[in-house]
Amino acid sequence: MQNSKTQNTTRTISDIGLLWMETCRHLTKKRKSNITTATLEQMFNIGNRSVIFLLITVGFIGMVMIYQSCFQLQRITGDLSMIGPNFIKIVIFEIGPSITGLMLATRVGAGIAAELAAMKVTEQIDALRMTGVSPVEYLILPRFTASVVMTMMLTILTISIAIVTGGISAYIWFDINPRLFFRLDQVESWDVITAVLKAFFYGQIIPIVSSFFGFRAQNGSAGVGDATTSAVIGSSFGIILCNFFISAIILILRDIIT
Amino acid sequence: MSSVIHFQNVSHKFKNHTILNDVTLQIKDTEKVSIIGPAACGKSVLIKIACGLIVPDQGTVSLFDTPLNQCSETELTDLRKDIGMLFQSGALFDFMSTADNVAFPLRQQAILSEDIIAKKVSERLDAVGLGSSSALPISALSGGMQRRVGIARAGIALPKLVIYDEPSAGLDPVTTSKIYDLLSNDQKEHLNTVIVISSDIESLQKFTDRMIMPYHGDIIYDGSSDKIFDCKNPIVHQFIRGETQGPL
Repeated sequence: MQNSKTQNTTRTISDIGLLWMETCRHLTKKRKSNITTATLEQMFNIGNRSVIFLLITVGFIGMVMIYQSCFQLQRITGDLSMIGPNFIKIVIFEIGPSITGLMLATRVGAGIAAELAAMKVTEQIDALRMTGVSPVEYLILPRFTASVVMTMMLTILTISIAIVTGGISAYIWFDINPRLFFRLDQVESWDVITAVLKAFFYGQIIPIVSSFFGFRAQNGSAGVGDATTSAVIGSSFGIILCNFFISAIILILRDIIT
Repeated sequence: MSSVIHFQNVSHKFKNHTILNDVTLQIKDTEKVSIIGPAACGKSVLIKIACGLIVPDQGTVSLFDTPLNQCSETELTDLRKDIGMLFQSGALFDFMSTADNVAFPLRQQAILSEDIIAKKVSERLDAVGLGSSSALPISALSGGMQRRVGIARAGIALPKLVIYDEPSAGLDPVTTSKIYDLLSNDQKEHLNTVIVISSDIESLQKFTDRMIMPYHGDIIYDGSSDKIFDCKNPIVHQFIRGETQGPL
């Protein structure tokens, strides 16, 4: 029983890897069909439709983080002069990309999985295949490209909003001067590289994992529900694992190089 | 005549249910074949195996003389460009309009201009009696109308092989006759291979030359449409006459 579960998990991970490779292969392939319109449409779905949701979430997270950090620090040292630069550093390399990724996994991942799963159970994906169209090229590639681009753009936006809301809360509740707060002296180029890498990979994980579960759906509407749940769990889990590995690799590289 | 579909000792099981048991079968170019049988006897699975949508457990399936087990997904995609298919569920793209659904195979070929595609789509929709519904979304169509859109889409790109899975399901007798006339005229004009899956024996007898009946994994009838009523097999006998007494 345990062995069979392990085998299933290993197979799922390897199949997701294969789907990722297949999508990357289509990225470089010369195409007859024009996917630009579909990509722009997906950029709107993934990006524009997630903006408000993300900004509100990240805005509040920024405020809560600053409030809690200042509150605790005030009790221990009473010195809040370094709270701003360190907060900005953490938001850039950790909170910004990861919260964006996890939020997008719930909103975008669920959407992609539900849409593709509904197409799968109604044989629309088979119909695409029978028209000589690759479902990977027609359905996944636009979502993949759009997700990578929009996750990176949204990450920049969420980082900015978290920093701004954090700065405003620090000023209102703890009277920290914005000039003291908005300092970039703790931010290193490694932090920016980490953020870019994380956003880049999260942007790939969400559509690939979600599409995989969508394509694998069966058993009608119950299957659509299962695919959506699996997509959200799988994408979120993938993002958390990816976060760990990128952070670890960057730390090791940083130690080697500097 | 070259072979369009060739099954060589093909076996396939779904869970514990045998769909095909060591089946050897050949469908040749320009043939008009019908696949008949009671519900859940494996008619649609047989066709999906033939198109490479389902990989059989055993045996070799060749499509247009190309063994499918040796094909990459890209080669399979290219082979399928010569097939038009009406799915049992319709499988229409619900994010497109009626006209866009019918135009889809032509657009994917990327050969014709948009003007010519629009003209062909309009003619095709007129032929299935849906000329005035071209702009409607799929969700606004009834089940019978959706089936006719599927029929229009399956044949529009003049594929070498057209497969119709239950073309007359949900259609009234008059529309059914019109649809079979359309399929017949298309076949005469383009000399393509046509496979129809249906239980409408009367219409199939008029339209197809050959009937195949799978049952519990075996092909229990494979012969002329005219002679099926002479078949001594009790299952075939009962099925085509629609009798309630018998082995079915």
